[in-house]
Amino acid sequence: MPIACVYVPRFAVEVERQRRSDIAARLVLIGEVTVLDCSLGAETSGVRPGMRMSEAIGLCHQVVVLPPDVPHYERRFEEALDVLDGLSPVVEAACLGAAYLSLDGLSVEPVPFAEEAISALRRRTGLMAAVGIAGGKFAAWTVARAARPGLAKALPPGEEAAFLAPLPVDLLPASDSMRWRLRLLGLETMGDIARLPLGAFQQQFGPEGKRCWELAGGIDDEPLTPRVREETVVRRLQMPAPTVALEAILMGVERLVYAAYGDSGRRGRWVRKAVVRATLDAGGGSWELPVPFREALADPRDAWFAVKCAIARRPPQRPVEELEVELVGLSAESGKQSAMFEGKGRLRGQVEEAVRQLRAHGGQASIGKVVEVEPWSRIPERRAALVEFDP
Amino acid sequence: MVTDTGATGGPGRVRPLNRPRPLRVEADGDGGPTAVWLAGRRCAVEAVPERWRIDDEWWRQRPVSRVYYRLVLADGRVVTVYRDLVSGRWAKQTY
Repeated sequence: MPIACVYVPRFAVEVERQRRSDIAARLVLIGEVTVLDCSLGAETSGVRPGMRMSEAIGLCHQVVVLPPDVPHYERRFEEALDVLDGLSPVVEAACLGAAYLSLDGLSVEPVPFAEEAISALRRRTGLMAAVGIAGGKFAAWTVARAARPGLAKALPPGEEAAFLAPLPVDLLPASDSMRWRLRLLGLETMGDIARLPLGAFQQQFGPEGKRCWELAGGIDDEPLTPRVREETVVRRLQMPAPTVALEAILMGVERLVYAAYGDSGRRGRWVRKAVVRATLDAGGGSWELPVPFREALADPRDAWFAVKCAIARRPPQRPVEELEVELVGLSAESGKQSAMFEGKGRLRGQVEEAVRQLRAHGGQASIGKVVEVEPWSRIPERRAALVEFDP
Repeated sequence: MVTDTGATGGPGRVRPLNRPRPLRVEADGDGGPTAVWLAGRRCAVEAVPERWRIDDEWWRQRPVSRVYYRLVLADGRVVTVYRDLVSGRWAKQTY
């Protein structure tokens, strides 16, 4: 089954550069304590995602450091996925900036298909992707990573193992301890691994080793997990002026909640969750607050009460320019759910009965319940405790 | 008339979870572990990927001062052990 991997290198940096022209030619680091993403120049200076920010700044000369705006990156990635949805019936979002597309059943040649994907993405999102096509997800991803942005490369069927053989083992989805042990054993490339007998390798590294051995040899039958497109209702409001006043923000969100509930797209369905977002002033990024409801709600007054309480607990910390409310989890419910209390009561009854039976069977059987005591403690035995459970 | 059961009243016992279990460890001259005894069998240490120290509760009569080691054993198992710097004893504990 041919699979295409569409890969936008340094996705977060590219997205930031699209909205901030002043960083076009600068070294860029995105992150807070650790580096989330970095520009090519920073990468050349030795910076890697996951590195401590203080260390990364030390490696780069006159670098621009930006706080991560993950909600914005996710929105832009969703836009890119929407474009890819038009090219293949099965699209899987791998991670920010990478997606897999199935070519199964499509009457297209791999390379023209990939070029069409690159061109469509460039045209509609301004992002430059590289595309790799191979028989499995891992091989397609490595091909895409190796290709330059704007280019497409397809591996002929059965060539995966030969392509992967000279590549470093660091590309494998292995744990840190396994990577460390691979280096210790002198296994530098995937070819080194593929040449070993599976039995011996699996004995050393367990199931993780088996998976890596298969991937290194080009064996990858992991199916694609299609992206689930959820129906939502979205309403936006541009604030008259950037504001930090909680009253003004609440007023705007209240209008949006009522408007979203009144949207014809909801078609009378009940709602399980609302997501409130705000675009912040002066390049302050985005603010996002998911508000899951305890039960599906049909009445905007109930939804507004839950949303208001949530915002009061965690309001935006910078002036708000634009507000957005998204209703998600539209259910087909038409009646009220059973009360949570009844459900809990039934479960509690079952637990009590189980405890009675255990005690009847084993005398004074000790039944315990795990409770968190000091989950933040550096001393492991202080974090949780077992208390006697006496129903 | 209610008969005295002799049982202690109150909320019941609270037992800490993940308590350290004493462990026999062979160490080198620098104090680093070279082998551990698990279920009566000696397992050589192949690698020490991580080592960290915690110092806490120094205001108490029995302060906590430990050096933790994450060990990769020769049979591929990964265990976490620590050396108590106050008593000098070794123990196994998931961190």
